[in-house]
Amino acid sequence: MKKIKLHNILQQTDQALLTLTFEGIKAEFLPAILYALREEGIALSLVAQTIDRGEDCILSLAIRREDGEWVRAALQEGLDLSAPPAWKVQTDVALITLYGPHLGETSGIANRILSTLAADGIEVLAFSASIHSCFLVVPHPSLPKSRQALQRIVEIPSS
Amino acid sequence: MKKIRIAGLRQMSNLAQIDLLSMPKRPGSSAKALAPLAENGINLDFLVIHSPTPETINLVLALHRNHLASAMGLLQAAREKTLTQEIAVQDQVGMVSIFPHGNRPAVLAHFLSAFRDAGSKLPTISVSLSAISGLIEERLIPDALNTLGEYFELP
Repeated sequence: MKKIKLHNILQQTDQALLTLTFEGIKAEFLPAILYALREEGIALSLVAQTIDRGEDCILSLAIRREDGEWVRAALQEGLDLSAPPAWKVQTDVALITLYGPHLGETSGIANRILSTLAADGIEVLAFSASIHSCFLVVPHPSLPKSRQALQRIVEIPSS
Repeated sequence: MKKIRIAGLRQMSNLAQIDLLSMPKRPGSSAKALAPLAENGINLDFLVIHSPTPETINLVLALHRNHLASAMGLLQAAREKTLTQEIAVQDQVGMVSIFPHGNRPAVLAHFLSAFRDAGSKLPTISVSLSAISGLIEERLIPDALNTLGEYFELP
């Protein structure tokens, strides 16, 4: 099978993955909290938000590990979340970005990425795919193994 | 409120959203669910996988509405293997994406506010390197484009 052509693979270590579950109605407070994050200079490496059947919102954010507690506290307070399981923070995770071109126009890319990582026993904690890029959050100790696994299926012209 | 300059805006109509909910969280679960779609050449325009509880994962995907029936057939057939607890479908959705120049928390806040002003329920969102994409009821796309214009400065 032909390798997937990419512009690049990027990685960010020292990340934390914050996952929150809250009543959808509370989401009206999210913009204000996000403006506060901007004021604090906090970068969001990955954002994925889905709504479940009970209209609860599930929000996953990858952020710098050093910002994890601040962001958790801001969201916990702003959204009035009591305690786990309403939120959980996974520290020591890494973010891998597979960057284009035109990833979104070819079928089966997400499946190839996920099945390749699964074959090596790597747990993907979060995944998000868009037009030109795929984001993967993996446990940090799995990062070297993940990169090796991905090299089997992707081709970066300049490398 | 200060408008944020963005590089572009993109909309897609005729999509359907499928939520695969409460699959067991283990390596390979999501690959097993997606394999039948990949093997049949069904492309996904949107995909988010995350884990609402320590034991489960949810997959939310959007695809062209023409592929909905075949995708559902494949996903239902694989359901025993993937142990998906629930499959939910919304068949009249579209996707609106913006292409910002950094400043992500504020951009996301504006994006959510614009969707809210358009009367949209909370959108399903994915943020990638260059874009923020939200799935929205298709009938609300014109309103969302209008309200996005109040928050963002288009090129």
